[in-house]
Amino acid sequence: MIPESTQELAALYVFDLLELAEVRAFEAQLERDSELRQLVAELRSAAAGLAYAAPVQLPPTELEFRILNEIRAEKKVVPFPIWQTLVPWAIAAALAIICGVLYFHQEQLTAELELALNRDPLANLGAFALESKFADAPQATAVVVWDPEREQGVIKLTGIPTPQPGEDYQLWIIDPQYPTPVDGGVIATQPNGISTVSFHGDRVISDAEKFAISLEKKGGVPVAEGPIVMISH
Amino acid sequence: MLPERPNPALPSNGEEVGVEDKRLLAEVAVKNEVAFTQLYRRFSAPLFSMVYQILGEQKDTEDTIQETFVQIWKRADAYDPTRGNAFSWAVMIARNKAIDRIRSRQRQHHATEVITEEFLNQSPVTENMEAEQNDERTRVRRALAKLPVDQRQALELAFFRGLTHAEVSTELKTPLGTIKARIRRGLLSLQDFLKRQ
Repeated sequence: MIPESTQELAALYVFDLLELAEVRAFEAQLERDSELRQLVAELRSAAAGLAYAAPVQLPPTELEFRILNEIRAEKKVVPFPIWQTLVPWAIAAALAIICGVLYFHQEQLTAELELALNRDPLANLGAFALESKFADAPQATAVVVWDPEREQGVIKLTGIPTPQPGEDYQLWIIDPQYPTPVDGGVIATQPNGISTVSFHGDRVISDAEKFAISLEKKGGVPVAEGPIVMISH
Repeated sequence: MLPERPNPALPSNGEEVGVEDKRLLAEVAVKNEVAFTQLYRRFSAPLFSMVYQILGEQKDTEDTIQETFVQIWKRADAYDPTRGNAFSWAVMIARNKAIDRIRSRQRQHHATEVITEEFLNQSPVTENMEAEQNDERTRVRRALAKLPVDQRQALELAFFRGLTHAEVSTELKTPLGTIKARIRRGLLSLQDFLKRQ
């Protein structure tokens, strides 16, 4: 049976309420006492439950993409296996010969690494979530995956209402180098509201900053006229 | 369609401690991006709600959640299952980041008043809420509703505001020893209620 005073320390420890000296003493006790460790683990889980006491707030859809983009960017700077395996040997060999050879090898391997990274088909892709502006279909979603190197993308829509006869949805690419959005083409919709369409801009795209969908007259228009129904942040 | 956001496991019936969360976290530790995405979808909604409750501001909340998940990605190998379940590990990362942020903003005093008011005025769980909200949320709120108000208040001030026990004592104009006892009793009771539900 754990004494009340120790239980109290455990509760305060879980909430990070102990002073540094108390933390050290308590952690030393934790090391020795498996029952106490079990209690702390259970109290941690119970305390985590308080997260559910907060009123519901859902994260915006694009936050997931932002996070994935950040971790992918981090992955790009992780040393490539060839770097880890070959370079130490190359350096050792080069040191045994002359420093100039070492320099040559480093340059060569760096170039190979860059080339290998550039070959990764997913490394440069960007993902964008478009938010619904439909009054009657707030649940509609669209996701664009954009390849800046090939200047082409794929858009997947779900829950988008079928346009009225004589109307079409049109995709636009917002590139800051142009004063108006670049035409990404008309998007054919399916009766079930789910569509997947490949597209590219009708001009050179150097920076696809945002994507938007507007409701236009049948066949599309050269410059956006109709209301924006979906847009990325 | 929005992705499903299944709930991470909390202790239930004394045994269920998020086996799936633990498995996903182990996969994240070896940089499995698919597992990371699944974990995000399980954890993001409750973490976002909690951080928003602490910070009260959308942009800061998004940034904090982003930092939290990037840390989970980088440090998943540091998770020790013997120290609590995966969800509680993630909660503590997010909470600590949110508390750090709020401390740096130096607006603790005002927020304490707001949070105290909000929680004391919260309506009890109704059948409607139960239908609308997910099971875990309902379970926790039921358990919290069973706690005496003074214990609930002490827990919430400590959890959502990161106040020290001395600060909670000052805020509630209650002796320090009483506050410590309320936090202990409150947390033990909450744990017990969650286990039994």
